[in-house]
Amino acid sequence: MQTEPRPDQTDRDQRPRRHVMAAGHAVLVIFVAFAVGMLLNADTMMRTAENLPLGSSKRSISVSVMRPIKWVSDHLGITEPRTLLDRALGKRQKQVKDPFSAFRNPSATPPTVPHPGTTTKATAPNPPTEFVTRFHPSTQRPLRVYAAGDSLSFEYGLAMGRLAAADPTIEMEGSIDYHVATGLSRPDFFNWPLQLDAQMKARKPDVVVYMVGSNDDQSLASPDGHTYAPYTPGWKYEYSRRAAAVMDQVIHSGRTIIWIGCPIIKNAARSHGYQLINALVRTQADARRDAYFVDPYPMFQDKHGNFEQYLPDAAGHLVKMRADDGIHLERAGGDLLANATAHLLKRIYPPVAK
Amino acid sequence: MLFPTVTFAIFFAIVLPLNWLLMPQGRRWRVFIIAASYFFYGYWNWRFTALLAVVTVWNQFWGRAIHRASGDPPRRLALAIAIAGDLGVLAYFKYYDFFLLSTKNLLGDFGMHFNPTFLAITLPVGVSFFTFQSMSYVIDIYRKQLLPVRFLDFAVYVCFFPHLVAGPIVRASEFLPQLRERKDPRRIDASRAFFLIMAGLFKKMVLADFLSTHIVEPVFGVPAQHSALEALVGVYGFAVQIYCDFSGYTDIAIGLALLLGFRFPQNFDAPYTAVSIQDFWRRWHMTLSRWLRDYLYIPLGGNRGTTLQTYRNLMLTMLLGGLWHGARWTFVMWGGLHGAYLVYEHHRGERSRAGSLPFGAATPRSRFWQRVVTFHLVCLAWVFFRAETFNDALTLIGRLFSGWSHGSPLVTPAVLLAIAVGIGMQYIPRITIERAEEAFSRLKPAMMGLTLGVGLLCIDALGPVGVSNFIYFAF
Repeated sequence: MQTEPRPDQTDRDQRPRRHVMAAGHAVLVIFVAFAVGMLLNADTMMRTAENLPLGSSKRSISVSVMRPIKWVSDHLGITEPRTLLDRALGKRQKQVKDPFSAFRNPSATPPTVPHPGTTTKATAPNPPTEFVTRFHPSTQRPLRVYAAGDSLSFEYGLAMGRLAAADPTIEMEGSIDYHVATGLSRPDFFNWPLQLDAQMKARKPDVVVYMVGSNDDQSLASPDGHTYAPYTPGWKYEYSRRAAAVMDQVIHSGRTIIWIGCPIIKNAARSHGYQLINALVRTQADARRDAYFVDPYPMFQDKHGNFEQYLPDAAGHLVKMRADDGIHLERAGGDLLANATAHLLKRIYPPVAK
Repeated sequence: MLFPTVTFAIFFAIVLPLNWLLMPQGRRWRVFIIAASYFFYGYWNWRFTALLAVVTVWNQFWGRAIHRASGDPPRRLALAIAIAGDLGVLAYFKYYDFFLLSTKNLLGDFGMHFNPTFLAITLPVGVSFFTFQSMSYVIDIYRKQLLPVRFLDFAVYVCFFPHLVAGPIVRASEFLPQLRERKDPRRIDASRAFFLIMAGLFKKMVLADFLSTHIVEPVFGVPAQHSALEALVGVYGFAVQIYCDFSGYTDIAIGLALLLGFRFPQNFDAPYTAVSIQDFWRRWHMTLSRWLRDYLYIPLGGNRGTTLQTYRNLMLTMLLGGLWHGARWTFVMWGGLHGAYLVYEHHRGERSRAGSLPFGAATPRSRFWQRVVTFHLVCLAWVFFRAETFNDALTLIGRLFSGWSHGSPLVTPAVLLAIAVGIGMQYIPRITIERAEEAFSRLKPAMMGLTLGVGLLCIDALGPVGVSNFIYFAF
């Protein structure tokens, strides 16, 4: 299994000879490369620094380091090549001050949001009993579904695809539209309302299944410039407003939204926060026709209410539902959640009887 | 710490000058490079640095014990204990949960209850690589091909950060002599190092990550949902993705080691230009195939026995090579397919030599078809390697023979271009690359830095947002 010399390797005398370099020069090259790279990418690097969690020391340090570099870069006018490249490759989203109000229908009922100071119970209300059935899917006219979300939605979206592949009355409109480390908390990093608007226009689904929240346990900046620490009354108000805005955006486009909440994770403290996020989102969904909430939290709990990585599947065999990082879903976990979604879809949109 | 991140760039910018400043002071340099490597490794999960330390102490202890032991039985016993320890670490972290789960479900089918406690931890990054390197050290001592070295030297060999997490699997006999060499800080092959690092970043961040997101993940995630053309391009896409991902990592690792004054063995040599499966294994993950040859295939008997024994040894080596990648039957199938290919080629070669098959001279046309066939056989095996279940693999293969009338929105010009570049770059003559490297090496340091800076801009702009893990970090 050893490599034999290739014909073009045999005549070593004819091969070009590289110039060697002193270690000091190599260090100099690296520093010049970093300096040039940072100046040319200053705009992107500044945005990366700003996208770190609000109020974190890492963000403060990164922004402080990048600020003078960006100043130099801006004054030299050398950020333009990167900006042009990003625009050409469609890597830059339009920045708006409050994207969560950008797609609201002005004639729509204002979103129901708990005002600051309202306490929200972390318990799940009863599942919806009334459904708004727009049509009965059939093999000729299947229910068109678009799945989107953060990294947790990846396995779930694939599972929805597998489910749709086996059910001719459901059709997934394209692959799962997942964006790592995104959510409602940082529209400056990823603008979900803009993304949903573009994708709904392009994919034309009947139903949007949307799974975010697991990256949202961080500070939120409201449009008036206030920053709210996680789970404070102001934070709850702002988060509810955003969730409501996304639901209204989908509903007002004539579609149904199924919001998949956050599943329990290995970290108990973060899980507790996820329960609160789920409760806030559920409150908004319950207040709207055409908005439904699926709570994955209890699906991955053991009998004591703790996180469980291995759970029995439909056949009773123990399977690995959650990844070793204690956060993401494994294939079987995605299937479990997709089956719960399909069950709800069948109730909202009962297929034509054969 | 991932190579293509700002964090690693800062780390390396500190380590590189200190490396050369401390190099003349042998002991201090060793302590420094061990500390830097443990920091690099502990950045993922500091708890696993203890595992790295235990593996180092364990193998050094037994390496010395083998060397001191007189007579073959005690030497063999010491070797067996050392290997059992190393394999035990691998088995514990890689296969323990899989074994418990399978046992529980099997007993459950017979109405017996068994409630195991699962490990439920992330696999320590690089565990397969540093245990294999450590095993090569004790086996070489046992074979009297190597003398035990000082503890610090062995610790540097095991933890040296450029190769620590995903190889290449550097032999002790290749690395340890370099520790004794007097290195001249005025003569570094830096231009080649920079060239390799940039090539590696391009392969990983532009080609591999792009293909992964745009074709491979959707197609392999839901094979039944995609058209025949998407399935076909998805398989080609994965072939290019895994090559660019792994060889990209290796290029960066070799480049970093060169900057620090060390030479690593080549790990890839244009594998998709191979004209046979045997040729493919001379070009793909070369350090693993050498390892498997020297420490598994040859000890099993190699091709020294009967024809059937040779076939058995080939199959066993490839099956275990498949299992090395993880506790999944699809990996075993991947190894089994390669084993079957090799057995068939061996058999065909013997028939040709015996004169029962016509033996024609290789023409450009025949070599072209050999390459096409070899590439597609490799791709067929990749389907099992990448698919999560047998069912998915078979569904994907099935899609290739149906669904040609469906639309293929995932097959975009950008995806086809990325695949073409990933395969085409392997056909660039070596002399052309060497000329480019030579021209690059003639640049003044400032101009070289400027060129690299512009290169970084292009790579970062062309690649997707964020950096995903290297595929081989999971093995």
